[in-house]
Parts: sequence; structure tokens; C-alpha cells
Amino acid sequence: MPIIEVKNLTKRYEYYKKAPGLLASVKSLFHREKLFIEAVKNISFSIEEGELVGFLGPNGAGKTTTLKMLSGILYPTSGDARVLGYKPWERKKQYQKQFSIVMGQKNQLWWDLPAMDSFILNKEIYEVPDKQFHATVDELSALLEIKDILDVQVRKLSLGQRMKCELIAALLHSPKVLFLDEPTIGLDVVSQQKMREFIKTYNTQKKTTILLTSHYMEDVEALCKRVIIIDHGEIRYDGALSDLMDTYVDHKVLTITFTAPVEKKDLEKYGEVHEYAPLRVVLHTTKDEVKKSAAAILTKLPVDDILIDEVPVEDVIRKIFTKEAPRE
Amino acid sequence: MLFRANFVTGMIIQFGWICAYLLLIHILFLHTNNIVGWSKRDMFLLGGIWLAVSDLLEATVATALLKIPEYVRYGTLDHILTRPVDSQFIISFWRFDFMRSLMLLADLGIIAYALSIESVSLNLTMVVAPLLIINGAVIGYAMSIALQSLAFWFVKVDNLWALFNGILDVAKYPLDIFGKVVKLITLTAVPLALMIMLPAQALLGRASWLLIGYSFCVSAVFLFLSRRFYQFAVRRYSSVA
Repeated sequence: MPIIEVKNLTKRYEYYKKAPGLLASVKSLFHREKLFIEAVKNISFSIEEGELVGFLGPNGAGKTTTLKMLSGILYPTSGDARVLGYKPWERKKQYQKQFSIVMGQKNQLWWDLPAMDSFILNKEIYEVPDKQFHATVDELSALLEIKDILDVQVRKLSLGQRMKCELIAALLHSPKVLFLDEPTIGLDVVSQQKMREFIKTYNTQKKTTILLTSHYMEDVEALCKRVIIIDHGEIRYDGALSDLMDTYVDHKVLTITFTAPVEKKDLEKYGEVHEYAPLRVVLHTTKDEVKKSAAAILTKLPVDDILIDEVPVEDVIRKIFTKEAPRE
Repeated sequence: MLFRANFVTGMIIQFGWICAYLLLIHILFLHTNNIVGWSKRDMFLLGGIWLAVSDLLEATVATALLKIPEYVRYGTLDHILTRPVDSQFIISFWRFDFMRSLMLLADLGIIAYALSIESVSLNLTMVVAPLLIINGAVIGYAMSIALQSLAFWFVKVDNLWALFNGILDVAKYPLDIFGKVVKLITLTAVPLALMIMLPAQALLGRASWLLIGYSFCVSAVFLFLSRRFYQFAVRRYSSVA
């Protein structure tokens, strides 16, 4: 049975429109235009226990709204969802003790107190036994290499250190389901790498079901075998990341450098020229033709170096977002 | 208490307010012996109880409740709603003002001083007076959480808190100075008389058991209604992107 089951979930927000300026502000005291937006439109998907799924979409696609409905923060307009058998928005204590959410742009730690104080508060709220609490804090702080900053005021920590503390706070009660909303946002490359390694290790060891949203393709590629792509509130793709490439990509990328200048017209018979300079070119060639084209280029042209690569995942995602790619 | 200067200056300012209020009563009674049957001792007692109820609210729930519009506006209720603890409980008791709890000792001092000015014949109603003070704070809490819950519709409701404080301010005077209609309102819809005047009357041996019983029923009803209203309001929470 799936751990997360979503059926025809919809969320509609109401908001007011107001023109800029003082006169418009005065007018809005008496009359305002009320508008509606469907942030999530009739989406359905299910996730099995232990899966680590990437939830991708451009800004405003509906990712965070979906996560917030699954964590019980928001009530849906219509539809149904079950996480661990519970309706999240009923906010049952038994459900809340089994899941956790980390939002990269929001803190749950007390700003003016050391992180350990927030951990102890969470320990009491989630009724974590003392022994388990200390073991978990020791284990996670060692994995994330932040043992020495747990007694420092949160506001004095760097963003990377704060995010690591947020992660520990969220995992103290060993949740079965973890929602990560852009956990690596704003982090430097080293911190991002460490976060990814930690999440992957945690998922493997604890079999925690994780739903991750991120704008960084490195997060998705490093962590997720399966992705759900959402755009304008609708699911555009749900399946394996590798299948995404097979479905939407029919070519490979050849990057070639030459020892002598080569004319553009001499390259066009081998594929589509995307970048051209006399000594360097980037060609797109169909998957069927790539070996033949590469062999011909190596034989007939003054090649210094040749690299055959996959289309970057972000280019594929970008095509889906900008509707250049056909729907699955 | 991490910000020590803020803690100390806060205490100094609060003491200043108390002294100014007591001085005002003293000056008023230089010109009269009683106000609608309330003597100087009675007024000090009323003032002490008003301060005690206010400080009890400020120490326990006021600082936290004031934050509700901010939670709605900035979407910071998210983590509160995901925790396995009643969100109304967290929102109400999230911040404890230790300085105001210390001020409670000063308020109890004023009550003790007032009782020492003139002797009061011992009465059974005196025993329930501390419970009535707490009951007054409970009614105040129910009213303020209901008001602050309007933030889920209107977002910025700072003026409502000022309105609540303004209304509570009226209760430091004997409500007998107002007409019957106002008195009726302060016993029912806006039960200020039950919050402040009744505990003072209980200490002075002037309160009826019927009214005392009625005040506990009122606080139970207010708590129930405010709870239902909060639960209805929080469904409207739409977070922030």
C-alpha cells in the first residue's frame, strides 16, 4: 500500500487586486477586485515506502502548496490525500508524530537561543525518550559535522549550519515521512554536497519516504530515481528520471575541439550546430547516428578532443516548463 | 532574559506606570472620600486587582497572542500547525514574559497594602478571590484570542489589541459610575465587571455567591466559544509562498 496517496487534489487561493498609487489605495477601501487562482489542479500520484522522489517545477507551479497540503498546513479546496493512512489536514497527533517538514526558507528553531534548546523543546513535543534523543543528536550532528555549534545562538550561525540544525530538529523523532522544501537553497556548493550525501545516507539507512522539491538539478540527479514534474498546478510528468531523458531527449551532445579551423558548413552534415567557433563546436546528433558521426568526424576533420555527453537534465526540464517538449 | 538591558528597563517602566496610577488615586482622594461608594482603600484594591489580571495576561498569553497577525502575514504558523501539540495552546503560551510575572508580586503587594489601610471583616468570599482573579484572566484570554483570530480574515488587526486594552483599562474604575445599560453589558457581552470588580468585591465581602457562580459559568462559555471560533478561523490560514 502506498505511503502517500493523492487523488484529484485541488487548491484554490483567493486574493485581491489593487492598482498602484494613493488614489487606488483609497478606492480599495470601498471596492476591491477579488480574484482566484488554482495553485494545484486535480493532481494525483502515489509514493511507496522508502522512495526518494523529486518534485520539480518552476516558481509558482504548486510544489510548495502540495507539500503544505500533505503536511496539513493547508486545507485543500477539493480532492483527497492520505499519508500513512491519515488525512493530513485533520492534524491528528498520531500522524504529526510520524512525519516532518523542512522548509529551506523558513526556520523552526528559536532565533535567539542555541539550537540545542530547540532540540530539547522538540524532544518534549514529540515525546522522544531521553536515550533515543541523545543517540539521535549525537549521530546526526556527527554525520553533519556540527557537534561544536549546538550551543551557539542560532542567529549567530551561518546559513549552512542553520540548515543542518533544522534538519536535525526535523529528524529527532525519526519520522517515517519527510518533506523537504528546497533544503539546499542559498547554500554554498560544499554545504549542498554535504546535505545531499546526508539525505541519501539517511534515506538508505532509515528507509524514510522523502519528497523533495528543489530548483537545483544536482539535487535531483544525485538523489532521485523518480521525479514528478508539476507546472501551473498540473502534473506534466511522473516517472523515473532515466525514462524522462528517454522520453524527451532523442539526441546526444558532441563537444569537439580542433587543431585547425573548420568551416561550419563542413559540420552541418553530422548534426545540428548549437555553438560554433573555428576551433570548437557543439553538435547535437540523434542517438542512432552519434557513433557514426563521431567516427566520421574523427577520420575526416583535424580533431584535438571529442566529448560525447547526455543532454543536461535541466535543459530537458526547462523544455517541459516552457512547453517546448510534448506532454508524456 | 537574554537581553538584560531590555529586561531591566522594562521593569523600571512598569514600576513607573504603577506608581503613576497609584499617585492618581491618591490625588483624587485628596478631594473626596468616596466615588459611588468606593473608598480610597477600595480603589487601591480595585487597581491592584486590575494590575494583577493585566499582568497575569501579559505574563502568560498576551505576548504570544499579539504575534498571531504576524504569523498569518508572514506565514510563520506553518511549523506550529505541523507539530503534535494543539496549535491554540502553542500560539497562546509560546512566549512567557518573565518580567511581567515578577510584576505580579508588586500587584499582590498593592492588594495587601490596600487591605491594610482599613480592616475588612473576614468573609468566606475572600477565599475564592484568588480564583476569581485567575477567572478574570481566563475571560480576558477568551476575548483576546477571539479578537486576534480575526487576523485570519483581516491579517492586520493591531488596532483590535489596542481596543481590547482600552476596554480593559475602563475596568480599573468602579463600573458603578456608569449607567444600568453599561453595567449590564459589563456583566454579559463584555464581562469586565466579572473580571476585575467581582474579585475586589469578593475580597471586601460584598460579592454574592450567585454572581461568583455565574462568573465561572461565563468564563466556561467564553472559553468554549472562543475555542470554536479559533478552530473555524485557522482553517482559513493560507500560509505564504
